[in-house]
Amino acid sequence: MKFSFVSSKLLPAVLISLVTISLFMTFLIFVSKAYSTDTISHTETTSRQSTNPEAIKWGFFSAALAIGASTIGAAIAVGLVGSSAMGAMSERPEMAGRALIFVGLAEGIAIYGLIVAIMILGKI
Amino acid sequence: MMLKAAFQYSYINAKIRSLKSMLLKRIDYENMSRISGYEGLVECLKRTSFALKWKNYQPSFDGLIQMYYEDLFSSYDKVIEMLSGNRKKLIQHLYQKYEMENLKVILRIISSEKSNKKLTGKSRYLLSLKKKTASFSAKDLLKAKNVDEIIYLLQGTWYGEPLKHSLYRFALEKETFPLEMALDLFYYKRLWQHISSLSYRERKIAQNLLGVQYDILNIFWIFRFKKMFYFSPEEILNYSLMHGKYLSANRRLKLAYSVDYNDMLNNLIGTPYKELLAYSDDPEICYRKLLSYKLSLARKNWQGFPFQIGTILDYLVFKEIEIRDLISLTEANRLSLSFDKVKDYFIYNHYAENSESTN
Repeated sequence: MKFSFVSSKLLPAVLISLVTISLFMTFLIFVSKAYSTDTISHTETTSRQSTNPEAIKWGFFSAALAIGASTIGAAIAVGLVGSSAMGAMSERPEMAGRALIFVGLAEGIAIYGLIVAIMILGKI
Repeated sequence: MMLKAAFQYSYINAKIRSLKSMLLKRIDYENMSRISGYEGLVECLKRTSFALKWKNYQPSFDGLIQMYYEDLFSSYDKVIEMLSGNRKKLIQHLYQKYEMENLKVILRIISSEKSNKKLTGKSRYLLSLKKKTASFSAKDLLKAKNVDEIIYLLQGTWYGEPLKHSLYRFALEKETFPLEMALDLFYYKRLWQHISSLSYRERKIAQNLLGVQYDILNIFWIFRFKKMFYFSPEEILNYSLMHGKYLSANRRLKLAYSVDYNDMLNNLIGTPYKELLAYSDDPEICYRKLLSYKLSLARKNWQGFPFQIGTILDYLVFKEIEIRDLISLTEANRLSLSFDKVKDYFIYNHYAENSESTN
C-alpha cells in the first residue's frame, strides 16, 4: 500500500525531473564542448584545453548528471523487472535463471551512464 | 499512467501469469476424457500441476474432488495475499461465494432435521475452506437446533441480515429456497458495491467481466423459475439481480413476462446470449453455453493490457472453470459414462466449439 502510494504521488514528478535532467545534461555536454573549443581557438592553446576552468566545471557537472540520471532510470527499471521476476519465481522457481538476465539488462542502463561519464571526464 | 499501473501490477501480473501457465491444457482434457477408472484419471493428473498436491489426499473420487477445491481455494489465497485496499476486498468477497455455498448446505441440513440426530459425517457435504479466512465456524453452525440459532451465530457477518429478512417466507413455505435466494441476492448486491468502490478504469473492466456473470445468472434463474417452479412474472422479477452488462431493467421485465422459450430468445435479441441459447432449451446445457461465453470473454481480455485488475479476474474465471470441468470429468468417470454422453457438460468443450465456429 505504501509502495503504491509513493508511486502514485511521486512517479509523475520523478519522470518529469528525469526527462528535464536528461535534456539539460545533453545541452550541457554540447555547450561545454562548444565553449571549450571556442576558447581554445581564441587562445590558440590546443594542448592545454583541460586547464580552462569553465570547461572543467561543466564537464564534471555533466559527468555527475550522466551517472545520477542513468542510475535513477536503472533503479526504476530494476524495480519493475525485479518485482516481476520475484512474482514469476514465487510460483515457478525454475524461472530464476531467465528472470535474472532481464534484471541484468535493466541494470545495464546505469552502466551506459557510467560510460558516458567516463567519456566526458576523458575530454577534460 | 501506464508506468503507475506497471509499478502496481508488475509482481501481481508476473505471478498470475505463472499461475495461469500451470492450468490444464486442452491436451490434458482430451487425455482425461479418453480414459476410464480412478487409476487412469490419477495417472493423467500426475502429468499435470496437480502432481505436486498429491500426497495429502485419500485415494478416492471424493478425495480428488476435495483436492480440486483446495487447489482453487489456495489460488484465491495467493491472489488475496498479493492485493490491498478495495481490490483485496473485492476478491475476498468473490471467495466468500464458497463460504455462502457451505452456509446453504448447513441451512438445508439443519432445516431437514426432524429430531436431534447424530451430526457426525455431515461435514463431508461441506467445502473445506481455509480456517484463517472463515467468517464463521461450520462446526458450530452444524450444532444449531434451528435456523434462528444459525442467524444468532452469524451475528457480525453479512450473512445474518439477508437470512433475518427472509425468515418469514421460510416460516411460511418450510423450505430453504427463500433463505438461499436471499443470500444470493444480497451477495451479488454487495459484490456490485465492491466493484463500484474501484477506480473508474478498473471498475469498467470488472463490470465488463462480472456483469456477464450477473446476466448469466439472471437468464438461468428466469429460465429455471419459469420452466421448473412456475413462478409468476412478478415473483421472478423479485428474484432477479439488479445489475448486469446487457440485461437492463426493461429487458429483465420482458424476460420475466415472456410466454415461452422462443419468446425469451426474442427478448434477448441484441445480446450475445441469443445465439448461444438457440441450440438447446435444457437449462443445464444453456448454463454451460453461457459460461463458455464468459470464458471466451476472459480469454479475450487476457490478451489485452496486462497491468490491470482484469488479469486477476480473468485468471480466477479460468481456474473456476477448470475445477468445474475437472469435477464433471471425475463424476463422469465415477459413473463410468462415456465421453460422448457427457461432453455437453464440459465448458471447455463448448468454448472449443464456439471458438471454432467463430474462426
